[in-house]
Amino acid sequence: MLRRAPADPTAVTPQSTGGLEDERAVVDQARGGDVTAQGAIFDCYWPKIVRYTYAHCGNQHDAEDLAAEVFLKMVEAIGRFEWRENVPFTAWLFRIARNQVVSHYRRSGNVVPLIDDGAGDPVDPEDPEETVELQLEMDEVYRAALKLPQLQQDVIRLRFAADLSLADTARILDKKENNIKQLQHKAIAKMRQLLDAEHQA
Amino acid sequence: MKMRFWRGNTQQELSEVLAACLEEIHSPEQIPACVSRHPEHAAELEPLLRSTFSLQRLMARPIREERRLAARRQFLQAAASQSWTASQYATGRLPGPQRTPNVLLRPLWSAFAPAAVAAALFVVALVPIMSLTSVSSLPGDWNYGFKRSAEHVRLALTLNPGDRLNLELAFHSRRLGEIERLAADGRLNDPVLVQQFADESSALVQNVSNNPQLGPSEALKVAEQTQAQVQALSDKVAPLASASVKPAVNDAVQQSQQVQLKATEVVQAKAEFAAAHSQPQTPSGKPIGRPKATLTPADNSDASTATETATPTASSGDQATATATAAAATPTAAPAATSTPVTIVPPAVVPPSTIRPPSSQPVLRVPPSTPTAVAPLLPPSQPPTASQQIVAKLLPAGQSSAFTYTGPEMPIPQALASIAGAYDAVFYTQPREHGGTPFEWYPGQSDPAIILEPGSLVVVHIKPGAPAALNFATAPDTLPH
Repeated sequence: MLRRAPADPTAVTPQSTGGLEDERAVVDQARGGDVTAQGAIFDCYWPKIVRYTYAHCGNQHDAEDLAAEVFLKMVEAIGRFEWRENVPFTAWLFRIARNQVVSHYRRSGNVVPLIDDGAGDPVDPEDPEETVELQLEMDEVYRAALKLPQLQQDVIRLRFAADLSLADTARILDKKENNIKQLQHKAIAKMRQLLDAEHQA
Repeated sequence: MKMRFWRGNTQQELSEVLAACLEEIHSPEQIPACVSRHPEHAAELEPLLRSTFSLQRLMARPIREERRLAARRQFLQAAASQSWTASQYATGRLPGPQRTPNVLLRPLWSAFAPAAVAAALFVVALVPIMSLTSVSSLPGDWNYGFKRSAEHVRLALTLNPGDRLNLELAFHSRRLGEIERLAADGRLNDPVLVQQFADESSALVQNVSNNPQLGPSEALKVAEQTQAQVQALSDKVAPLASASVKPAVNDAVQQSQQVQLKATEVVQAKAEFAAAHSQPQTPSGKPIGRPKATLTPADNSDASTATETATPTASSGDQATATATAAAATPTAAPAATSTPVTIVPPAVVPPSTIRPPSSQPVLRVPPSTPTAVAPLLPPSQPPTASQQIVAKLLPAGQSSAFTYTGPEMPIPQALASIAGAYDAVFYTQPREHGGTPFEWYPGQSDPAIILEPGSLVVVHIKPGAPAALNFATAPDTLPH
């Protein structure tokens, strides 16, 4: 758990992998227009949202653009956010992200996104080959995920790309946790099967 | 049937166990320990867990820091703007957000047509009104967005790099004025405003540095403005800033100081480049981007009026020759019937010896002491009085040095007499109060009667060899710069 970051736009904060300490207080301040609190939310959720949108579109540039749009939507809407038992802030934010992705594809006429060529990705200068291999593996995972039923895709993206808990995933998808556990199990098994088949091919 | 039920039950159990294991363990190294706790599912559980960690690893895209910072900046700007809007809602100054009426969601052009026509009429009527009313608005005011939009439009329509820079400087100066006013009103609550201002300063200097079409004079303008903004931020804004904004103001002051240093370096670099490459075409001080003018008094004139016309010559597009019909009997305007060199000053300040043209053309002014041919390289004629101070600067050889000239108004060779022969190019910008026009001047080639006004920002390029010791007495009423 990490602390709130200052609102310095260039500040590099270590919040990229953790949640917000006392999320409720931070979110309440952000609802009141506190820019510093909103910056802390951005720091906390940017990596998760980018990974989530990437898992949808398979292209780093599009994923980042989509994530930026998600946060702009969040700023517009956060004043109207209300704490409810079944909709914590994470679920609320990821619903915005999900809607944004859906409307993105609706706008672009259901165009199948291009697979990322990895351009602009950080490359390990000591082992560029490994970077390329990793990119290829990522593409495989992305393609395999597209072959899953829609709900299983959603579970995979939220659980393993966005690194959300079972409970948050259940709230976002409006399902019971037990359902999510089963969907998760099926999705992993199916992904394993698809990736094995691709490797054998 | 029984078999299927049993299998379904097992799968459900496995889902539970898998979920529990994923909650418990955080690395592949912990898989064997977790599997050993569920031996009945070991065969299926282990590959599932390994696949899960592979998935997690492959779906954890690396985050590009550059893009994150760009998005964060954009986000914070939106947040700051939204924060203001929220406060307006809260205070009832704006109506709250409303749900879009269903009729507007219908894909019927007829539903939009009246609204579009009304909006167009509204905009046509509103634009001139808003232009007038928004000029003095501040961040947080209802019409501030319009003010910024109008600025963006003006910038978008300005293609000439020099003109564009002038506009950018003017708008940047506005931002500083806004911050000062907000601080004075106790309304400077948003640190992002100050941060953005400092960032814009950096961007301005970078722009001048990168653009080869912008010369030392333009760089001088930026340096001059940066110097003024450091002063204003530390003197006017910092003392009034609230505790929440003060760190941002202090950061902005520090950043602006760095920018100022950078601007000075850019000025020097551009001046050195210009000195190395320029071949002055005219014998007089050359205003950059403005017509040059000379005054030729006619011997037949009206005793009560003086008129001038500036006519562009065919040989040089950016030069103009001004002929004046001046009072022959007026000793200040026409001391002799021969050609009299003059300097150009903008119409803002009109000293007694100034002849103002009927239009907004630059005013031509006869210098106080008008040399006829080659100006003598004389030190300042009067020794400093008790109220004056001698300014001494050691200017390094082979480099350009920037300073603000605070000596009395006099021809350049006289003003720089203490380093006569040691310099080969002078670039200077008039004080802002006099128009801030940039000029360049070359000893032996430019008009020796060109006057250097106190408050001018000067860059002198010293010839290679030895450093030069510049000194001059400060003018009694040196203009603030």
